[in-house]
Amino acid sequence: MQDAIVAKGLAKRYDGFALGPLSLEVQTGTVVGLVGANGAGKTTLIKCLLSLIEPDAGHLVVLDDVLDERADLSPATKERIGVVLDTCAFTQESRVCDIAQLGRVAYRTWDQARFDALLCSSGITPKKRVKDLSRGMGMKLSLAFALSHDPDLLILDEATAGLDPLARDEMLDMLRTFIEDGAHSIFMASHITSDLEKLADRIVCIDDGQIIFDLPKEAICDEAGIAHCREAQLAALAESPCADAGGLRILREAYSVNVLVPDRFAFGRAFPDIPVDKASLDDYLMMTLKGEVL
Amino acid sequence: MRAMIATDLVTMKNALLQLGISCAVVAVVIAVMMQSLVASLAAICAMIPFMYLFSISAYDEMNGWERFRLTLPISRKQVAYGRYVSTLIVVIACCLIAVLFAVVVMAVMEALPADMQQPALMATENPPAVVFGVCVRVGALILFVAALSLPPIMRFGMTKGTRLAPVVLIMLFAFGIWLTADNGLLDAELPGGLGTMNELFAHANGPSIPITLIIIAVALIAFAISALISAKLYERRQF
Repeated sequence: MQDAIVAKGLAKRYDGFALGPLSLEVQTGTVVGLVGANGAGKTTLIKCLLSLIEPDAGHLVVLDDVLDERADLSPATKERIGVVLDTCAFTQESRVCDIAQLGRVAYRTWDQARFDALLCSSGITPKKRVKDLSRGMGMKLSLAFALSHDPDLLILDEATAGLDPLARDEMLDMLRTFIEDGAHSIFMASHITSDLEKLADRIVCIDDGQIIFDLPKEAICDEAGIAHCREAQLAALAESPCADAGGLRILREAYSVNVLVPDRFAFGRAFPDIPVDKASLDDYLMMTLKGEVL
Repeated sequence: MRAMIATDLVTMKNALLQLGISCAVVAVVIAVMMQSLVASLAAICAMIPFMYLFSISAYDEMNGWERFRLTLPISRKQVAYGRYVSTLIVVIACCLIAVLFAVVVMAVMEALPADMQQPALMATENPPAVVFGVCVRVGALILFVAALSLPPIMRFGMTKGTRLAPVVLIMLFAFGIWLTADNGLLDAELPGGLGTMNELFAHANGPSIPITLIIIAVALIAFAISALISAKLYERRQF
């Protein structure tokens, strides 16, 4: 399958922070979620992908547009990308109908009927000013704008942050509709792991500018587990085939030790007397980023 | 570039409307209180473009609009050149509005009873050459200010850029005065009518077409050079 995004050895250095070098792929028709702590480098990575900043090194291809020689994505490529950043970026004094006017001028493929329908379903009227919209409404407006020129790729940076569960669900529905034909792709950075559990095909975790893991969602949310064992059982676990090459990640609690196991079914067969729960993306992240390696 | 120009004008649509109304009030007050049509025309030509220039640059930094705009199908060069063209459009539009304002004021004066007419606001004291001369010269001055202000704003953004723009402006004006003032470096070299900066602008009250054309040419050349510099600076800017 063709890749919507290919990054190889991508690196960007600032005073006190370095992103990469890292490699990443977003296949067409998939949703890739980007997670990580604040300051981990998620927004820097997205800025590199959107050519808002120029990487110091690396090979980057976005929708067949190779960025090795140039600093900027071509307007033709930008036409195929929808972007939602963490705030509603439109100027506060503008009315919603002004935003539609911008879309009509900027995009050859602008679909006014689709924009109107998306706004109507979100309860946003064309006469409203951006400053009068709630955060949720503002983000829905941003998403409607991003979807109304029929992009091939959506890049979202914390697009659902600060929204109530209902507004988040509505946004996720819009995204589900967008990807259901298999020809569109989404790359989304989010702190809200439950959104990624519902939508993503792959999860990429970034920490201190480096990719910590890049796994199919099933490997995290279906196969992985959290085992609750006693201190005395740890040595046996470390030597078992259940531990992967990087060792076991553990977090000590008051009366037990939590252990992240990559395959909870295999673990259950090998250690039937140790209880093991299904891991959520939050658990997996916590164990990976905060757990000590056994 | 059409998208960038439209982006600027749509973004400023409401602000321009508000500015237009307040400017119209200011122009009428100046015309009546100062008994000077020339001063009110200068206010129209200067006020809106000047405020446009800095308001649109300020809007860029609000809510990350400038960053988001670069994700639209517009290249960085188009952003830079588009900003210059939108500024030029506003300057030209304001000059035309000022001329229209002059025509309306003079028509109103002509229509008034003789005892209510104000000679200073009538066509006899404001021939077309004066009206056009003032509008074009003030427009050119604003273009010159934009040419000096926009490169630092495009490179560093409004917040940082406005700290640098006045420095550049003052340095250049000081340099210009040093060159052209009485006993200045170029004083002896300049033709009589251009002996001082003051004289240069004093011709606004007279129908001096050659000087008007020189001013327009200098302003447009400065504006074009500034656009080239801004495009280069904006290409390297990191967001």
